[in-house]
Amino acid sequence: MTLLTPGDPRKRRRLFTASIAVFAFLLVFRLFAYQVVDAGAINKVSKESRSKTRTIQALRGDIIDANGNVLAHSVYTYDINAAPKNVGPINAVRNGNDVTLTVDQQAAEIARILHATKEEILSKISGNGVYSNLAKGVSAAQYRALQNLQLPWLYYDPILSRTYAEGATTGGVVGFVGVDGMPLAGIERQMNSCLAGVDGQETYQRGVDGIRIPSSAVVSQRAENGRTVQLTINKDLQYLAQNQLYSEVQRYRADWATAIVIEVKTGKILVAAEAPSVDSNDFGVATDDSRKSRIFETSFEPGSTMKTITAATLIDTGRGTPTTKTVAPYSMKIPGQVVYDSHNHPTEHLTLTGVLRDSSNTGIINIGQAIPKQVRYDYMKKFGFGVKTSVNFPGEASGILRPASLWDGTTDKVSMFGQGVSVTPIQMAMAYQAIANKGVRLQPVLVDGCRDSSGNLSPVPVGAPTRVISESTATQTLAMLEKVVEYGGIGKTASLSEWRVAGKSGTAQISNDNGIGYGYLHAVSFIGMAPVEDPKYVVAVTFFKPRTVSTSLGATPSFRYIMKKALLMGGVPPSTTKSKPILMDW
Amino acid sequence: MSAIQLNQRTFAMPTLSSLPKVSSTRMRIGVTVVIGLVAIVLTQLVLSILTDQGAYEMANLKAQRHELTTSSDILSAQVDSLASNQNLANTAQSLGMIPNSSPVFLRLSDQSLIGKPKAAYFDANHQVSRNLVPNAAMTTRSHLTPTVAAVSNNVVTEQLPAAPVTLSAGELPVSPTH
Repeated sequence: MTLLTPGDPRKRRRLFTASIAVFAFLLVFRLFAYQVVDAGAINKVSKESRSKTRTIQALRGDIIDANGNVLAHSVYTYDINAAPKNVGPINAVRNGNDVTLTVDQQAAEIARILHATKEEILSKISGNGVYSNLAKGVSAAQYRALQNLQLPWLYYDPILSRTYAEGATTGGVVGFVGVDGMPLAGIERQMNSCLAGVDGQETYQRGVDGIRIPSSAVVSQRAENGRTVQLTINKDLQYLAQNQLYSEVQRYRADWATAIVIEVKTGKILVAAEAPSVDSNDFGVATDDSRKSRIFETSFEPGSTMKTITAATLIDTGRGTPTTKTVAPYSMKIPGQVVYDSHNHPTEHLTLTGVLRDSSNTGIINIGQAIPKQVRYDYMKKFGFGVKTSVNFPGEASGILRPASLWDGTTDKVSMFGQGVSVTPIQMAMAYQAIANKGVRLQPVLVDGCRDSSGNLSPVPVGAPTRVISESTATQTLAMLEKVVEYGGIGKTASLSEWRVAGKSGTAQISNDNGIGYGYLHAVSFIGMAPVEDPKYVVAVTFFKPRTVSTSLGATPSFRYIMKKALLMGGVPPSTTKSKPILMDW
Repeated sequence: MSAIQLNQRTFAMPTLSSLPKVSSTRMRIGVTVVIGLVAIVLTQLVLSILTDQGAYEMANLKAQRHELTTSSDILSAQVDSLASNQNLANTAQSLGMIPNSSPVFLRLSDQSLIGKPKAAYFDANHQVSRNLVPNAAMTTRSHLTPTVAAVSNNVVTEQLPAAPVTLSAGELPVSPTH
């Protein structure tokens, strides 16, 4: 009965207010617990359920030639995957008509784009699996064509890859990158610290529909793209040399050939061509030997191109002049063996210049033995033999130049004409650069530097120049080498009608793989410079184990071709002066 | 009896009185709060719609960007292929092109010509050599139209004379071809 009694409204209001207050207090208490006490844990769980972190891939930098032409750059290729369990007939539009495509027909369409057979594709999309890879690294054009098929069971994974626009033209120098993005050879490997970028990271939140929530992205680490490596190579000249070598290697059935063009005044390598060479886009098909740059990585006994070094040493030490007389028989006994000249001839009376012109082995021994072997060794060191160049190319060889104290009687003599020592093609080219550059040997330069996105170039450190011989010695040696091209049996075939050319041939025996004795095949070379009155370029050409030619006649056509192209592309006007006569016979 | 009692109860009930009248100020505050709340809810709704719209638009733009990047990649690959030395060598050969084997330089200081100008002529040894250097990236090649191919065939078979160009001193050589 009491309850039915009308109460005091104020009392009821107070009771109601108190209840609300208690309820509010409970809410505030709970709110405090959520917002303050458990806030961290709740936020973490919440973010984890909504957030997604992705790697922002940094682009690897370009490799460009001396004129800015891109030799290597990064592109997206695509891995093509399928979900076999979803494969089945589909309705699609083809040529504007609605058609039903069988699995066979779909496989045939894919096969046509991927250059595979229908059977290969069918074997990969059969079964109940959820994943099957159909192809890796297909081009953007193929990816687009596959997309246009609108097959609901095809999936695409974009992959950052490298592409090399010039293929094998620069393969040996530029190198290549593995499928995992790791640099494996050449400049790609050597300059990785410049080329490689730093991947970034980004976290963003997604709604329940999986769509990214705008403005939710937080970049925790910004991606830094790689920088650009600028080479000294001229890709057009490189191609002309490379194509020439490919042609001549076929013609002579040689194992391989190399050609180098050095800018005399700077030591820059304008051409480092070789055949066969690796196509960086498809390095898997190349042989192990072709994957490397033989110019830096292979050493061999150079043969008679070393006579130039012996002659320069003679003059520089005051033990000879271009007209120093000597006798050159066909054969000569030296400790341990008999040395022959390349062709049978009666004993000749030659000067040092004549010895170089005829490339006489006996003549150079007779005249060169005036130099103590330690002095010759020291000069060979100064010319750069036995040590790597400052290019420091991956896998670069230093050649073999044993200390003079270890030379036996045979080595003492045969090293004067380039046997018993081994050199890399780049070492010998730079020795001739020293002669062409008034006696100062520069370190070869292959990389101009590392260029950042603002265009600032950080030069790559280059070794210091070395004064090898006096300017006078260099001039006299150059004059002798010009006589080789003017009057030498092989040298004449290296001449150019428009420019004065100096150079020296080399036909070297190649030691057997077991290190005992020599085989019947040779390494034939020609190294020269032009124009003689002010040398601009040194060109060094070598063919290794040619089967259809056994002398440097195999190297001179390529030398002429490449030297002429270099002079033309360099805008070097034809010579207007002539050489001075030098006594060659007596 | 019961009626009397009922009457007594009726009389015992307190008199109803009206609550104090709500002041107009309080009324205005209440209305403002309600309108404010409605406005907030509506704004939130509009923002939410716009945000969702922006998200889908952004996804759409990203898809477009991807398509355009793919198109750009395809075109770049074609340009790289066509500009590669390998393709140029093959095209030059099919056009019957001949390298200049007699360079001539003009020296500006005294306007003299250096070199012996000769007309280019065709023989198999002077033609641009075909490409032998592999290039797996060369996916596109120059295609000569039948007209161009026919013209180039005529050039190849024409066998231009190898006679030297005659010059007056200090003059640039004039090409003998027409």
